[in-house]
Amino acid sequence: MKLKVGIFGLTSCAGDQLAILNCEEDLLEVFDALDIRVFTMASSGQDFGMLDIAFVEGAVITEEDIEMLHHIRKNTRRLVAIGTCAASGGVATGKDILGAAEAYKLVYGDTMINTAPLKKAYPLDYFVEVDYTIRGCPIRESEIIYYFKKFATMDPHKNQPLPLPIEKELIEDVEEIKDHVINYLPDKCISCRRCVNVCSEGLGVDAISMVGRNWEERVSTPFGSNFAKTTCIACGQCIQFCFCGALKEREYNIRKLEDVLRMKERVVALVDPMILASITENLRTDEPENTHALMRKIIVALKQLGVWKVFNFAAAQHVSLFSTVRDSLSNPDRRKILSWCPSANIWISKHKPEYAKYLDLDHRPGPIARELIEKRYGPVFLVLITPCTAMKKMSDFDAVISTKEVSRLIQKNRINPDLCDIETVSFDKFIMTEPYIDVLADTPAIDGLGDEVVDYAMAFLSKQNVFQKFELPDGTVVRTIDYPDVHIRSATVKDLTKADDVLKNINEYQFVEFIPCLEGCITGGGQYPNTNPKIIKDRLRRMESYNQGAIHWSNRVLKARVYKELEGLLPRTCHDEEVS
Amino acid sequence: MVEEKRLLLSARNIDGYEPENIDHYLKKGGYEALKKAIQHGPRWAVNEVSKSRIRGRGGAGFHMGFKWESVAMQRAGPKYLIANFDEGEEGTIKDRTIVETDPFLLIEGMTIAAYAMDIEKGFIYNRGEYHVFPPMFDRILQQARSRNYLGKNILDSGLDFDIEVVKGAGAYVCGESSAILQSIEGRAGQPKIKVQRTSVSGVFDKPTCVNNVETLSNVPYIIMNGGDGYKALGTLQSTGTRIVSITGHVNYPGAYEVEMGSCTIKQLIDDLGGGVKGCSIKGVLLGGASGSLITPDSLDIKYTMEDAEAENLTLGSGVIVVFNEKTCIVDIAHNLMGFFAHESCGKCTPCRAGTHHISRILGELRRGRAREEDLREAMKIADTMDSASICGLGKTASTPFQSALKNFRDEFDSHLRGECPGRVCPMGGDDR
Repeated sequence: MKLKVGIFGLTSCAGDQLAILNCEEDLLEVFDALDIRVFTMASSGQDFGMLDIAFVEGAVITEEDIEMLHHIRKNTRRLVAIGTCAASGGVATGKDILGAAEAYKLVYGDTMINTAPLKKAYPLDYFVEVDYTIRGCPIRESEIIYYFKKFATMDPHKNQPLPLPIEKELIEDVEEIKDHVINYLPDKCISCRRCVNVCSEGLGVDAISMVGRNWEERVSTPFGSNFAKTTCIACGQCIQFCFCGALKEREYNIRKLEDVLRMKERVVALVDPMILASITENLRTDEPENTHALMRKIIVALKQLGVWKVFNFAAAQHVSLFSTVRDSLSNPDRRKILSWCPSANIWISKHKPEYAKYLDLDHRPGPIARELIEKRYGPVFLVLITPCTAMKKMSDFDAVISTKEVSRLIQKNRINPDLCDIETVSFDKFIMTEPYIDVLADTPAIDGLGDEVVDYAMAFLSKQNVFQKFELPDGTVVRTIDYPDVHIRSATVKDLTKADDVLKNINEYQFVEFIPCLEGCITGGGQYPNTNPKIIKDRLRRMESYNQGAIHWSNRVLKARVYKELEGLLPRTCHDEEVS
Repeated sequence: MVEEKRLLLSARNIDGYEPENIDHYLKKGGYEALKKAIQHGPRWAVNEVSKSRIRGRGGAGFHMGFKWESVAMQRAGPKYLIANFDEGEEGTIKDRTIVETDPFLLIEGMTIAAYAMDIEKGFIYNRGEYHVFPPMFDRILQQARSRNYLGKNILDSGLDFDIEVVKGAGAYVCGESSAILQSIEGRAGQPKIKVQRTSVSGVFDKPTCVNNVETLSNVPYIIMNGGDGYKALGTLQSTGTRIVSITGHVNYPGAYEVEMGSCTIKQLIDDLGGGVKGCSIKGVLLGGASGSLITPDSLDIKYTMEDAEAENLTLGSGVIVVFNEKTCIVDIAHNLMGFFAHESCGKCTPCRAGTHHISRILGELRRGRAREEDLREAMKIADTMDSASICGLGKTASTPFQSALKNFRDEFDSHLRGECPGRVCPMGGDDR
């Protein structure tokens, strides 16, 4: 079966289509192998049916362009942007500097034209998902022929999400492409196998391995299939272990976020303090002694960008913990596995489906936070800033950006956090009123949140909380507390390959949590990559100093009581039917 | 005049011998060795093999007796035996000849090995390209099982042993002993860095004995005639016979079995191979793709392992590929390096990148576009490959290129000037 290909032109000089036509020598050979359905320049007629690959040139300047582009995206499985205009807006973006009216006058004078141009010029990826980009003005002939040949014969290698063989992928739905949170760029890969080793031996997940031999050796999922269909748990450890940037997180379109910030009033950012672990590795700022000062700098920078409120995501995690504790104590057979880690949730549902009934998916931090915020402030645009790759798979938020992206956002907008006034700033609070602010300084999970869980349970049962904490030989941390009438046991599994012991005896534990990422969230996929023991040590030091600086770090009982007093606000009301 | 000495290929002497018929094999004296071994016990069998001083025929020339002793010593079971039938070396047809002529010899050899080392399970690792043999093995293994030469309690000796045929997927590197283990386990056929010897921790992390097909086929003869009887053949260091595959530009290419040390390489080519086809001889590839390219002047060495080692050569898998004057050495070296660039598994960087780059440089040289510096660069890469590769493939992949550059320097020089003496290379040609 030949691949069905369309070549389209939006507003542009059509130079890239001309460049394709100029490849006389190879053109016939290539066109033999492909089924060219549409070629705006070389033919007429727009009824093309479903395409496999669409090459689109030109920038989006008119309303018709937007319509056309959405039509193409809807009817093609792969979309390739060709040329500078399609990739970044090109020459037409000059309007942004001059202003639309002045630019119009400069070009057309007093002449009127029929189409109504937009105020700005946009690249394709502003409106739709672009799978590949070929840059150049015009594009090089050799490059376009290379891509044609690759598409016609084998898997193309550039800007590509991991499922390699394109033919296989074509059968599947376009929507599934969006499910990829991890991208693989084979051109950058040096076949060092660090990613494969950490996936198979470090985590026991075995989602990727090396395929092919000699010069053609590549990283791939089994049979090149979609990540969603493999055993991948989206922990992002492969990204952390990649030295050369061949494996990357799918990036949120920052330009889009900037526009949202400009357009909408109520953009709310949930910041996971875990981003502090690695944000200084790229953000050009003086690292202060006190990591809380750094956090404040980031809050100020975000507010300067146009964010309305900045909340602490760790607080949402703690609320989620607390409601889990409350509900699992009333129903001891279910909801033992804490749900704050999305990667662990995916791991349980994919690798240990028999234990999925213990998962507490009703109390995920995301929906709880949204519910509480919207109850208080009305509808908002919710942005999560997190080092977690698996969060990008979740549909709980309107946008998820990683540590890397937020520092790029700050730098791109020329905001210098060092010049901000940080004295008067702190996180906004979404679950409590003023008197409680000092009590509730929530701490991020360096070593998991097992300690807090036991404290909350004790506070809930109105018991004194002196628990024993010890580490099993395989690294699992167990906490126990025994009273005549109640026994509480919680386990934190830090090595997925050794989780079987705990899972087999899951009935002995009241609470179990899994931390898939090696060393916890400080090596999450959204942190800066290239971790080595020294960097991990630095990050750990930073986060520990943050946790120590948090107010009332030791007074978790008090915190639990505050949560309990605020129970009216907590989502038991949201899940009334299930609990009762 | 060199005479063939047929121990393994003795079936060739019998008219109307049907290789797949166990009755013919029994009539020839088959399975007598197994009975004798069972009479004398496993310890005796290992001793006899050690005494025979037979060396591995796969290419490395490891002492087989030492291997057997170390596997027999292991207590942890189950143990495994692997017959390496992944005959990928270019021009080699010896294992194929044995299996085509007398397959029961291999089966009996494996059974004796299993008895001597107390092994429960044997594998025949069949080369991916040899499609015809797995069904044939199925037929003959069925016959052996029906006569109780395989299966439970073989010949009332208390030995339980069976053989499974494993098909390779067509990778040259799977002839390497750690890659063969990975392939049998069901993983990608790539070598591993050996922490422990295969005889301690091999396939499925159990003690494993990996032997070449030709080596195992020698076992019945050793048992029948004793280690001393076998030692009487050949020289002190290289005992017994060897099947030599003579291919290339000779009049009668084929596999011939000769006594070690009874002749020189030149005699082999002239007497058994029937002389060079066409014109005079230009060079010889000794020991397969990972062997050396040598000049006609050095053909007067005796065909033994020690004489070859003295000249810094290797007999490899016993293949002699003859090239006549109409060929071009640079073209041959380029072809061989292209073979390795294709067959490198890609696990370690020196081999993956090294084979690719040397092949590219030789390709440039074929078109007259290379310079002296390029050759020096290629030599540097070859040195790196030799010292840094994980497995034998990478360590020996550059040997044909290095030996060609050493022995045929003038050919390379004329290519640098833009001339090909054999008029083979596409001088000044384009990329195609």
